[in-house]
Amino acid sequence: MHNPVSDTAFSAQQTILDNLPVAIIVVDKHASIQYSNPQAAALFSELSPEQINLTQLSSAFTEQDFLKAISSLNKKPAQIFASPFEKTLSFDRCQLPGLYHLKMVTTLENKKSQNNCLYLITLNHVNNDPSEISNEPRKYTLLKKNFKELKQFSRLNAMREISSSMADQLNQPLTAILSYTQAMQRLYQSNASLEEISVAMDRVVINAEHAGQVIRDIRAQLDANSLSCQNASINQLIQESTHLTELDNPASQINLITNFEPLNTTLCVGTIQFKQVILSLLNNAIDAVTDGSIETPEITLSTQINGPYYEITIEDNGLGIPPEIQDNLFNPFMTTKENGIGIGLSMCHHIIELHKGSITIDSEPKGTKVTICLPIKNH
Amino acid sequence: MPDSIAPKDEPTVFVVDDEPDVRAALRLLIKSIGYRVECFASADEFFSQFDHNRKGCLILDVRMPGMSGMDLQEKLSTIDALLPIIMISGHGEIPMAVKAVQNGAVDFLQKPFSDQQLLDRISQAMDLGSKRHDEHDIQQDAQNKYDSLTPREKEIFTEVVSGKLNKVIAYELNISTRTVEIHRAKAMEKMEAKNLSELINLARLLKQKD
Repeated sequence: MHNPVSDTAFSAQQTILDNLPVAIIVVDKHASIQYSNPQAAALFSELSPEQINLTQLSSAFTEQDFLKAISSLNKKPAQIFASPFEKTLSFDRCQLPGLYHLKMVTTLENKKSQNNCLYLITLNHVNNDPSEISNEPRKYTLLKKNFKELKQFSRLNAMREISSSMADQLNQPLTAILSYTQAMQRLYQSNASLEEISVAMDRVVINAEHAGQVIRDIRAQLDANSLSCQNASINQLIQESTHLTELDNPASQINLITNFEPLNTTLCVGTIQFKQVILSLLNNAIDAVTDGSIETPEITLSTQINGPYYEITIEDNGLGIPPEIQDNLFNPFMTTKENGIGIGLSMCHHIIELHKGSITIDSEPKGTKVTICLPIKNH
Repeated sequence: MPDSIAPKDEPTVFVVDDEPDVRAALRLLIKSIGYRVECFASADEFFSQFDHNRKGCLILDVRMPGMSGMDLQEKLSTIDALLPIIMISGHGEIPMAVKAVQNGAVDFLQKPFSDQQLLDRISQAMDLGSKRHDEHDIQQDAQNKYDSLTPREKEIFTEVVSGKLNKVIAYELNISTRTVEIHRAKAMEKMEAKNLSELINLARLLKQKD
């Protein structure tokens, strides 16, 4: 990665820019890259300049300049996607000055490793004055100017993703509620047994509660920055999350094994966010074992005290995680799921970090083990 | 889970959806208007028990873990399944809907859907399904009759339906006109055709092979 600027103010900003879920490149007037973040490198690593549609590009910066910049980035080894599918990119002007939406389209249908991600690039024009070339602070001032906008944009982007995820998550309980209710109307008119109607009514209640939980969770996700912590039994929170999944269904084929630590320790956690993390990880585990190829799907949930840490592990005997994506699991919008948007694990990571804990994922040739460590004191 | 009590030749609405509550709600709804219902939690589960002879229609969720609804539709199409398909999806992807309908789906409904819309589509699909089965039976019947012909009769059958006169056939096959007449009469009898135009109609139903 180009990093010509070494002063600490820039380094601090760079860490943040490195972690923003958007591709960022800072290019000078000579089309040489002054800075690019890992997302940009991943995006362009496999892309040939012909695949980029530059019609929307700013007039101040010519297509040729841009292609030159991309080519230099292209020489870097592929970092994330060493996969055979093709990508094409096109630009859209963004409402913020100097920023561009980048639309990425993969040619492989249904296999979206990155789901219609919006990327963006800042095209910075460092003054060509020879006296300014060595003037390093100039660059980071420019970066600072865009920095606020970038953060705002990536937040907007995350909100957009969250709202589309919310729509998806609400659809299932709403479909069930609507169909149950309509069936109940018909059953009622045909003088069906009250028992049949009552079973359906129970399911309507459960699905409506589930829909409410989805909304609460999303709300919690949106203000994950402001945790309201309270003492709660971790075992109990985990159990509550389990109830919201398929594992609670008596017809479930998945064997759930729980090894809860016997002291039933309470920790000070943001209960809604914590449950969100467990739910998200459980859903991942469920998806991993219900692939259809796992003969005896099994999920093991354990909690234990390990010195100063409270350890939670969620282990499944599913297909495991392809090695090529293991390094990028916590990146926003990284997903291997057909209908995933790649926000689950990055959100988990964020929430656990807010609790000053850590989350690690081991995926041996088969199966996946997620370990969460929370400090027992100083919460 | 199939009900073993009910006769398997009764037309059935098959539901494939990975969401247990959507399955249960659809089962109740479809049962309420008197159709027999069978539910499956995955495309694989449905496909592994698929029986060509079962009549009815299929309500198929697009997005499921494992084999997707689109994959199942394709698989059923490659084995010439007769079951009409109604696709359902929580996502309103237009390209996918277009593709599903182009591949022969009766409709593509976005969840949540109104019961009336779904039930209308089901009754439409059930009609289509039974029509396809009738056509298939007629075709199968013609095929069975054709298969009962001797090689010589098949040869003469093919010549006759292509419009050739007995005399021409006899000359081409280097046999007597009388022999052609005998084989032709035998073939007509086995095919249960009263006249040439009926025979031609039957020939149209036969699968293109040999």
